[in-house]
Amino acid sequence: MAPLPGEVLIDKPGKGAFYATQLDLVLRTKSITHIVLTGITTDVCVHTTMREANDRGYECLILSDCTGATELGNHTAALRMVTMQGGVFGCVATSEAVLAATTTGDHHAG
Amino acid sequence: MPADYLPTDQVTVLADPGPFGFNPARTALLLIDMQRDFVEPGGFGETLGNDVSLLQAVIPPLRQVLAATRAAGMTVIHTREGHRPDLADCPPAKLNRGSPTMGIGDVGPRGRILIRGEYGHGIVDELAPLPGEVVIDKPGKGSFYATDLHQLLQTAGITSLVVTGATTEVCVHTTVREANDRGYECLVLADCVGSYFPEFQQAGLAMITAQGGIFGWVAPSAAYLDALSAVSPATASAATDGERS
Repeated sequence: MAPLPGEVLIDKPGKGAFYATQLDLVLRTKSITHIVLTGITTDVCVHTTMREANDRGYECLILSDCTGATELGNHTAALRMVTMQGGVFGCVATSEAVLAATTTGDHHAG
Repeated sequence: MPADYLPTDQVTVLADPGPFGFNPARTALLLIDMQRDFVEPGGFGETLGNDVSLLQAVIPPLRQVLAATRAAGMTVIHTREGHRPDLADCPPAKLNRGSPTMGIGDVGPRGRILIRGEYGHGIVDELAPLPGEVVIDKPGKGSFYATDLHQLLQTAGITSLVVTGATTEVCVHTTVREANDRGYECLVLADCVGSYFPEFQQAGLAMITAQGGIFGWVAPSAAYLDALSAVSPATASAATDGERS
């Protein structure tokens, strides 16, 4: 998982990756509109970041098999919270669906 | 009720995962999005097929909490989710979500949906803000993003929040997460927050107290009222009156 030279590394003091960091500035400078979320833990730092991104207008996709939590119940509940009410916080997919979409160029999959 | 007594003693609430201590002079009660469109029968929330009785159940205990908190002279802050009439503050990622038949800005049963100034956007009568109480209009789920809530709390010297409102897993949770990152101590009152989905009510509360209280504390409103009446006896009668009125 080691970052490559040139990849952005954000040091954050909280759970959310936006609060008190330059993440929003970096994303807007790069004209990024969509975010694929992975990492840990699903219900704490990943979810807080996804909520922050959602309020800031980014389209978010969280990968169910590339996130994890200390308790399986919190992991599954966090994923279900994303897709309720028509996707209140965004979308959920597996890494397989993303990889299939990237290789075929079908950006509507997942 | 005008406050004539503001306790500054440390108050301790029996909470999960442990005692929650707060100074009433440095603590605010937050009522999140108790708006007609989310809570009342016939509103936008019910139109989408949600069971609003689960949110209605929050009103009686929250009225008691509100009355006691006002009697203690503590800060009370209300929030409303909504947008400018021209939707200039509504990102496409939000506008394009949800029901294709009825969305933000469309005309719903209580006026244009989630538009500031419309009847359905207002707070339910039972919990109506008093003159002088802060009302935060927020464009997102979180109460801090793109609002002046943090600045108001800092100016007022507030360090702790008692969090109530709707819905537990969406706006309440997002706000508690934002507050936690900003250094506020948060107590969520379990019977004063509501969700359309019992599963998410439970999961949302469990996530707050996980790992030794990673986002804060959870307690029933009775524990909060008990703790407050110990240092401010007037709050007990106010809570009872709040239930009746």
